[in-house]
Amino acid sequence: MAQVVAIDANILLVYVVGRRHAEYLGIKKHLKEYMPEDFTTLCQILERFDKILITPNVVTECSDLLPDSSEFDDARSFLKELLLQRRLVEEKYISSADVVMMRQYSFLGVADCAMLSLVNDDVVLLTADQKLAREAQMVNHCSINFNHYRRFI
Amino acid sequence: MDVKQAVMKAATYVAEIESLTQSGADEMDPIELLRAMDFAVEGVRFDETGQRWLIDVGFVRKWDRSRQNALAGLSGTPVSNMDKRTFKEVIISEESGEVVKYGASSSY
Repeated sequence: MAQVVAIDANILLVYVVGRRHAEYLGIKKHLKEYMPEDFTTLCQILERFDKILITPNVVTECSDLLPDSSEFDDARSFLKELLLQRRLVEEKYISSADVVMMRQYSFLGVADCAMLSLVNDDVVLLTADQKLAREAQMVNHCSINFNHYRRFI
Repeated sequence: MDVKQAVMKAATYVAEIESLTQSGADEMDPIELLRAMDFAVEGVRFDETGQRWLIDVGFVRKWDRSRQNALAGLSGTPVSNMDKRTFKEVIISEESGEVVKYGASSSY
């Protein structure tokens, strides 16, 4: 059975920027919380899976987080290339009306709840958001808090 | 300050504070103490407006280690063999590099 991982906007951002400019991690706007080594760590985690699952909310948020400057043109191009690889990346639409009925909506928000709704026995979630990771681990204990794998020292 | 420096600052602060209350901990190297406490970074966020690092950490204090043995539950009495983890938020000023707040994590 295919190993599937759902990823959130920040993880997608690190991947997309890291594929073109890992040196931007830790320096540029919206990327200050990360470091170049995070891209390597992220790739090692993603290699364990056959497919990446995302939502339109994740793609939109990632796109919005990419700074407008031309320095990120190639990262934007890579995002486009990635989304067109349908066998590797699947985009799933989750109705916002369904999402706001989730118990976790009061503390996670629409985008994170949509991601959480994808988690099941066959799909794990990869995120750096500890609240989201904790909720996802209650559904599938293999879900990952990315911070636990980062090498800060 | 980059994220590594911010996390090191937070980790060092936690080791210093916790070494004050755990017997024998003040004789341990900070890294050794953090390992003994199963220290982990749970989340990192940089607040652009306030120019602060908000770092969520988790660890287990000596007295919160589970003392139950593996067969304790066989009698039918409910037991927990899980350690009790403590979660804290360390807030660090980007400008001064100092810890400005250390308290319960708002994420738990």
